[in-house]
Amino acid sequence: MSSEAAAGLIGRANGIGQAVHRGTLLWLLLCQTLVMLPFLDSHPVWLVGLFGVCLAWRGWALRHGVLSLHRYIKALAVIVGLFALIASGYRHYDIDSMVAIVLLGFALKSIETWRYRDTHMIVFTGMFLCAAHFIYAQSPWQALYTMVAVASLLACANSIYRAPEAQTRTRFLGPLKVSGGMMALAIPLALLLFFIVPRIPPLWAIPQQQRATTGLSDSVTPGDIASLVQSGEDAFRVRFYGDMPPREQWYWRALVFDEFDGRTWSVKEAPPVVPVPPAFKAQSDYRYDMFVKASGQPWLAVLDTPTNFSAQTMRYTQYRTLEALEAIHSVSRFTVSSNSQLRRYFVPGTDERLSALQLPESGNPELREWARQAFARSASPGEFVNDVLRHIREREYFYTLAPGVVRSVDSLDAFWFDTREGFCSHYASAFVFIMRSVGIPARMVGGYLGGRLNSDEGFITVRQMDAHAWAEVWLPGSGWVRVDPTSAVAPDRVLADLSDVFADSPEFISSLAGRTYDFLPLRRLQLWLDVFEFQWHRAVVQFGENERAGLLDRLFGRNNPIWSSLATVAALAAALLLWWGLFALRAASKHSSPQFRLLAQLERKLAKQDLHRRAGETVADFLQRSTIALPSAADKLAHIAQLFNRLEYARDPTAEQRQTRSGLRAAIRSLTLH
Amino acid sequence: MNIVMRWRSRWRARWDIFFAQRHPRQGSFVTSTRTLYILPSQAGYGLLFFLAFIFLLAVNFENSLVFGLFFWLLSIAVLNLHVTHHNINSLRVSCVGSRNAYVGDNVEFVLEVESTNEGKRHAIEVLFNDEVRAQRVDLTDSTRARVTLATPATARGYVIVPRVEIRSVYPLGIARVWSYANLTAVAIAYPVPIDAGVDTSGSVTDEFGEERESRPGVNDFDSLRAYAHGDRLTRVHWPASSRSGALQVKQFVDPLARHDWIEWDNFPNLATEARIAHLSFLLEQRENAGDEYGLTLPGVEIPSGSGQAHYARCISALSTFDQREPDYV
Repeated sequence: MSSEAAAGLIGRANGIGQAVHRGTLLWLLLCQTLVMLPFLDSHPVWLVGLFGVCLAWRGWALRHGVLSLHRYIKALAVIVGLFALIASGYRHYDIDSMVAIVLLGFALKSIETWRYRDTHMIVFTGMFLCAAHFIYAQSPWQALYTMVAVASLLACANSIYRAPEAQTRTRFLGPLKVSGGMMALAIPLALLLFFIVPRIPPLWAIPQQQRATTGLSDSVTPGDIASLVQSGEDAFRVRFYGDMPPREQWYWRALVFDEFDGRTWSVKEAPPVVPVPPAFKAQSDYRYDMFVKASGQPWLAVLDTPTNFSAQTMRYTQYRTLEALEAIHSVSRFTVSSNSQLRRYFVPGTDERLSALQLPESGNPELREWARQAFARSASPGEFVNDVLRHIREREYFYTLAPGVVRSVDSLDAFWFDTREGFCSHYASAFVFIMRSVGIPARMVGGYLGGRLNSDEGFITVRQMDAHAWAEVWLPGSGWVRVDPTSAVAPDRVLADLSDVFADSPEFISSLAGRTYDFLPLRRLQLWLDVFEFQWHRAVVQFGENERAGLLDRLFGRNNPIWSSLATVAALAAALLLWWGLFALRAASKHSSPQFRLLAQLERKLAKQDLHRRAGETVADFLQRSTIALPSAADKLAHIAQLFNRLEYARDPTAEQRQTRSGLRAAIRSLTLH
Repeated sequence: MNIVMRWRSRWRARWDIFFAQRHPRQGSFVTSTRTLYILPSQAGYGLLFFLAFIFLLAVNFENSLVFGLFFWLLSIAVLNLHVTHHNINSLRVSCVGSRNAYVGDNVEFVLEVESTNEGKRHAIEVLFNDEVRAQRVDLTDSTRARVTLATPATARGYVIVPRVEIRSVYPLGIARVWSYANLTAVAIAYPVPIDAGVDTSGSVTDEFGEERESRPGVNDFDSLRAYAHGDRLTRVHWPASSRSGALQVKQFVDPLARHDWIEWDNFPNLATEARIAHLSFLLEQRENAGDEYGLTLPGVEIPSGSGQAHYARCISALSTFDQREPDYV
């Protein structure tokens, strides 16, 4: 049996069991592919591969006219698929597993999609998966992509009902026109609902799998990294309320690496959470909104010492860093105030002091020895810091993103004395090691440095490649002092973008694959897109219940919520009534013929004499009846009845009809009743 | 179970009355806002189910974009109601022809579906009430189209066109809109020809095999014969008896049926329906043989003729014997 024969099967009422035609099969192929592709990022590749296999089977079946697989084979496919999911690590109750199961069904369903019902099933499941796209990505590009996917799903649903004998072109492109048109027409209502329907708080929490994405990690092993992989992805955006600190102060602190085992610096497992001193609140220099991209981690990168923030979403640690209460899985907004001077007044407690001096018993003996000798030559700890920086600056040290792996156990010795090239964490880790080995409390800090300022819109975009490591040293009298050893070897790095520092480095350019452009129009376009993305996150992605209620308050005034919701419902009802009225009016003007309007006029006149036409009574009968009550107008009424009947029933030419109609109009007008 | 079925049939009867009142029988029917009904289809309920899941996703993840998508899809579903309704609104349905058939076969009606406002219509389904098979109409290139629907002929006589359902789920299949047209067309179901086994032609042969023109009767004088025991004395022809010496009785005949006529009165022994079936058989036999024939029924006389049209006229008259024509025909 060929596919045409299959398409010709006629089934039950409304075609539920009817076979779909080839145009629909093409649309299914397209929309399923569009829906599945984004999950390549978050889910195993084999799920998409499975879809490919199912498609191949379907192509073969279509050619050979096989319509269904034995149900045992289908059941087997489902069971094997479920086991494969378990093997891929989807064993917990969380959103990823749920989506994975739906994806599995979505892919497998395509082997038996022949009928209307199956197609609807695919389309609706696809809609759910489109919604799931937004759990994993919220960029405007994702939104645009998903819109296209939804359009293709709707087109697929529409294609079912296209005439199978229509030309291939209309059969394939016609549905797209319909779905696009419907999506466009639905926008006003959708916006209305979006703004007026109150958002209810989450009913229950669906856990999301911990998935470390790009960005900072909680340990650094400088010697193991052959070359830094640069990611042009955005990490977060910042917009200041009022003043902005100078560029050289854009050190976004996120993590404090306290523990060192000779090769690796790591973050203390659970940094002690402490209350913010109440006096801080009045000490804010800067206040800013941060829009943080999903990182799968709770860390926030903030300026210096945070002083004021919402305790409902963030907590403060002993290291003067901030953490979100939960790992960040979607773009989130945090409002923070910071102070750039307070760090002076911190005196480390015993624990903090001890961990800021911790070093392994042995290892890197040459560097320890070098530090001891250099410290002996310095007058004070402050002087010593400057001496070490001067050493880095004046000797042959190089800043590179591709330093190569150091195999030696004493990796810091090898860096300091042999290779002499590295990136920020090499310099920071050697510096902290030197300080600790002579008894100066020091620690390595991870975060971001700099960012790209969009001066038109006044926000800063910090990208993953702005990640940076520097040191903090506690000096008596000065408190915690920020020391960036990288600035000694590459002073530009503090004031310029990494891309400018490494403008000539082939590794850098290749690793960014054209994220930063020299060509001015492209750079401008990039800035513009950046603005767009920022506004998108600010205005759309972050649009929650507070924003919604705030907007309505601003529009309608701050009222009792009951009143404002009643007003909204009333407005909606009024709009619907108006719409319906317009419809009815249009329908009335379209369908009623002129003589019926004249009849209505006549009826109004006779109604004044208490004569009403009964339901189903003909005009002639009615006028006959009226004559009994109004004998004086008998002739005129008979004339009117005759004209009316002629208009209704005689098949006169149009011109004659017009004449009759004007006669009727005149007759009704001249009808005077007392 | 019994109660459920009783209530169901009552429910259905109530709706049938409701629809019958709203859709009086008329020559042509134009769909309008008043006569169209719309409800979610099976797939529509499926969509609502999936939308509920999307809503849960939006609420539980407090995801603004999922909320946006949810409201958009909901709005599209609402808009779909209008599009579905618009697709089938202002359609004229009328019956433009019919094909008669024998009882047991299907009577066919040719329906015309016309777009009164020249709008394009897709995937309109036209079917007789209670039938499973629907005919599809697409008015994309022209404003009118014809479909032929069949309904079984169960009894001879007039077959009134059953209630026509027109419906559509276009464009997304999530809402079904429908209406009913009660039209005024009729077709005729012919009685099935059955040979009742009585003499086929109405002619009679004598003992020599020759066709006789008359049969014994009371009207016309034919001849004299010898008196047989039991003959009435009033029939005795006394002059002839005296001449021959033996009693002679008058014998009367009735003229036999006319050779080319098929007559109702020829088969007084057959019950009405059997007689109709037999006459149907005779009509078919004559028509197949290519003869000329006429038909008499009480109150009906169709003069002799032959050919398809003549046959149709005769069999129609036979089919509708003793039936009142529907008012509107």
